[in-house]
Amino acid sequence: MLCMFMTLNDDKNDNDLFAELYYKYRNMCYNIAYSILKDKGRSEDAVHEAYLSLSQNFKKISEKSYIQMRNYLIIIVRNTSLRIYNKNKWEYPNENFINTLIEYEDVQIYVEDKDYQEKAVEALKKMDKKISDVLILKYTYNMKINDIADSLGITIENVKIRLLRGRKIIKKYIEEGNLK
Amino acid sequence: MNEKKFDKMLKSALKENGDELIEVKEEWNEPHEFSPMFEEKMNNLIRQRKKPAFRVSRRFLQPAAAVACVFAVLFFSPNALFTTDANVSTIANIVVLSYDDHSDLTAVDVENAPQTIKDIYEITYDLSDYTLDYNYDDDRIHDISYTKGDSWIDFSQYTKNFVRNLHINTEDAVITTTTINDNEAIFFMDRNGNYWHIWDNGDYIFILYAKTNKEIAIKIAESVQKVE
Repeated sequence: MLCMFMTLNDDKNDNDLFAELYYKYRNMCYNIAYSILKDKGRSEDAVHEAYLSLSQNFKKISEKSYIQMRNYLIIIVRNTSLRIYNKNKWEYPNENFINTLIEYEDVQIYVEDKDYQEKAVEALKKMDKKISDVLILKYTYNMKINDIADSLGITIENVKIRLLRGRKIIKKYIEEGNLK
Repeated sequence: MNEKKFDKMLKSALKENGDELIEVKEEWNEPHEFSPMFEEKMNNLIRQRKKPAFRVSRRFLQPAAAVACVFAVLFFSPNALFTTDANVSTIANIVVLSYDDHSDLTAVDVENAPQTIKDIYEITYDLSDYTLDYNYDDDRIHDISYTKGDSWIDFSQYTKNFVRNLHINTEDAVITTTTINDNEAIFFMDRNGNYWHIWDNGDYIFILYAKTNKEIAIKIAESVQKVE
């Protein structure tokens, strides 16, 4: 029964900031959702879900810069919309599949080179956003895997598989200059 | 293959460029007229965030209420089939399901009470040195908060039909009763030092919780009167 209730203990400033983020970015969130779902009702549901997610994770996010909080919202609403769009179609990887990917990733890279960093960013720009979003939450915002899963409303396993896929894509892009 | 080095490279690349990877499109600023249902859900979310001690997720309220009603019927039935960890009691005309760390409150005599707020009740105690922090009104809720430095006062008037399975943090609290304007009231201090008064005047449920000293909290509760 307890799980039905949110136990949020944010202070007053956090609440004001949350409301501010809502009024400032709700149109943006709606338009992102609508661009994916093409349906007013489902888009509003996605926006509501995104703000619920923001509310539940606000303590972790409110320390970020304003731009990062906006970006977090973009990521959340985009992924929530995709999840609604693809309901029941998300991949649900098993452990063997993850292991296969880990083996496949065995590529040599000299990591200190700035060129590799630039190529990694290029690859991130080109890859599927649902994968790059997870990488950004992990590596830019330093979020833990379980927090990413909570934020996006997906399983921890799905977060892991997207991280692995993203890494694989980046390595391949660095090696071969393309994503495929 | 050195995975750690790759990780380091990725972290470095994304730390510097991660925010730039988020595309923001001009057309996303197009205004949208949100539906009343959406507005209500979001207003409730914002309102609930303002209330640190009890958080009712309206998203789950209706199913939770249904579950609570079933539980209540079973508990009060002479042929109750099972027991749970919750202690059930009626205190100050309010059904209280007490768990270790919280209590769920449900109003009784709901059918005979106003289904929407007809009369507005306010604190009449002099709060001129307090600042109005928050005010929310709809047809079932009248909610107002004041602050003064570290002190704050939150007063809510609810229709009885709203108070179904209302979640209150009573962890470590000793619940007693007192009298507020001839109405029996639930009274306790929560683990954060807030004084709570919860009472039913026959028409509405009132919840007042205040972070101030006990005497003032009592005076504030006793000052609640119908103003409209």
